Amino acid sequence: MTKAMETPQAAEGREPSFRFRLGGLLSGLFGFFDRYGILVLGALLLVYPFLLKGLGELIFLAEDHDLQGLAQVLLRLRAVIPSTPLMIQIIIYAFFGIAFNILLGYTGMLSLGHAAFFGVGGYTVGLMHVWFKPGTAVPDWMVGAFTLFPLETSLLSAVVVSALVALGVGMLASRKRGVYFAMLTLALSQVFYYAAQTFDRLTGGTDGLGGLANMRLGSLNLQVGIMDAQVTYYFVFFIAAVSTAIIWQVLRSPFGHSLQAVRENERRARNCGFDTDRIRLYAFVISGMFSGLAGALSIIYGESVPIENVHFSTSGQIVIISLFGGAGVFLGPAVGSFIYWYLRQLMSTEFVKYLAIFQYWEMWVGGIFILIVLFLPQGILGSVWQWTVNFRARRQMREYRRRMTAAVQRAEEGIDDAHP
Amino acid sequence: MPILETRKISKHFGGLIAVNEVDYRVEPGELRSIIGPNGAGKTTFFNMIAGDLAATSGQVFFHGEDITRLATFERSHKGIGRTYQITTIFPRLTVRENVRIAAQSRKTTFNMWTGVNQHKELIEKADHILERVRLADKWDEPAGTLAHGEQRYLEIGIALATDPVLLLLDEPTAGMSPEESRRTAEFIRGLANPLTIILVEHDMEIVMGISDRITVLHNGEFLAEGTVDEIRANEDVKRVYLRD
Repeated sequence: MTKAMETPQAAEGREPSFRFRLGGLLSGLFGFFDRYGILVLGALLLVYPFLLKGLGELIFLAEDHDLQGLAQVLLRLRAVIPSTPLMIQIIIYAFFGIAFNILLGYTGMLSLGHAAFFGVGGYTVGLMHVWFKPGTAVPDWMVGAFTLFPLETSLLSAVVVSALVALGVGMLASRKRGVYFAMLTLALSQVFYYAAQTFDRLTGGTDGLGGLANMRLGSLNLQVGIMDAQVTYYFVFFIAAVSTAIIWQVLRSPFGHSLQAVRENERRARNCGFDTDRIRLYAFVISGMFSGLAGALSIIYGESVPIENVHFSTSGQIVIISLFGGAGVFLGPAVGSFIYWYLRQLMSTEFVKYLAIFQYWEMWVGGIFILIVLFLPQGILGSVWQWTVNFRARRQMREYRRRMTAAVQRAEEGIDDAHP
Repeated sequence: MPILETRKISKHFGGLIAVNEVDYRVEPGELRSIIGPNGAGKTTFFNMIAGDLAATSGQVFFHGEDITRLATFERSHKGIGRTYQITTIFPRLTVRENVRIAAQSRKTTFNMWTGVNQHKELIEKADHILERVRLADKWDEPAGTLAHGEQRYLEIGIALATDPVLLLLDEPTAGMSPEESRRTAEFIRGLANPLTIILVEHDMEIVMGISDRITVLHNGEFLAEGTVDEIRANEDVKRVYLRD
């Protein structure tokens, strides 16, 4: 009897194996990133310019003290860390991707026309900087407001204009489903591309809309743009972060969950009383609006609007970025954006030094895209997320099995004791 | 006043007449069944009541109000819920979320500024319904991983979450074992009155066991209507079923 009492305690009190503790650590880490990943990411992006600056100063310091070896290592390191302009690009496309993913990942609508909103947002800011001058047809009060707050008014206008454009395109396209929806968005977005090309006296045509000076925040009296990458970085980061937070809120709201209902089973959603046509349209407008804001941000650092912004290739790019990272998870497109732009940069500046074939970065990115679609269909972040879920389930299973074996053992030993 | 009434309702698919000028009345609290051989137009008739299909001609009245031109979601708001012959749920959402989302469609569809977890009453309602359909212990599993019979129950739960007064059940026991079917029949009987239920079912044992009245459709046309005994004794019905 004493034996039977002791055994279960011994079994439960046994020191867990090393494998088990490692599992616990990993599981804890995953749990942490699951909950606070977005904050960690935000903090990293916030301190990134300081890190880069610190690294630069370290290099100077090392050179001053004749530590050539160390300086060389640090220089190599700096070469592979994304530069500030690249980070601006990454943040903008991360934001663009998250806005795009409202449709692809959450509502289950594949739009092939988001370049239209991205481009229109950029052109709105660009054209306002060109047109809004005294002596033009623009009313004086508008010019006055614009001169006082150039970037504020133009960004706000970009949001409004791209929302209106998204409303128009959405009313035509969002009643269609699947491939028909995708084709319609593609066709309608091409209208904007050809318009930009045709009215080249307004838009600069294929040369793009250049020479936009005075990217200024009136309220803070802050000059952003090509002259100061760091200020531009923080400005873009701030707007993108706030917008991403808004999207996050919308997706966790009842409305966000009705998007998922539409994605999962539109017929059932309709029978539950959801006006699915209206839900799809709203999702389209919200997505298009934020895509327009992303497009508006994208022209600030370059101070010009390239026509590629409204070209189909941009629509394709954002699909690739979303699928790279994983459309099923909120931050998937952000991870996708980082990988896409960083790889692209590394290939055309670093890898190419060793192997000339890396200058054809499109080919490599395309190859990686195929591999991801084939082997990680949930995208990179999506797959990692899936692994953590599976990992936790396995761990629970193992724990359960261990307890069952212990219980069976206990019972058997009890029987042995009773019938010696 | 009848809760549901159809007047000369028809559905044509090109040259094919799926439902032909059917008049139908259901009183509140009744458990009605629609039977008929394959292709009799039962599901098409259902679809015209729930709004999945627009009627070619004729009218549908609900509580005396003409709902013929209303969209599916508007009919749902009026109080018509339904299930499908082929299980129609939200497969990748959890069991509770399936029911919670259905409950949400009433007021908060376009609410963007709160989190879903703040609407405690919806979660409580979902849990309450999950207990009724005996899925309370599976609340956090993805709906798609449930067993077939459990998915059928979940679908009924989803329909119940929208607070229907009229529930249309399209072959709720399809694919169930005889034992499961019997339990389901009892469950459905328990839902009727206050709920009004219209049932399309192939399993005659169930239909005869629980229905207040039975309607027989044949080739899209009204054939007979009456209590269980009347239908059993009806010569037309016998002929149709024997011939098949």
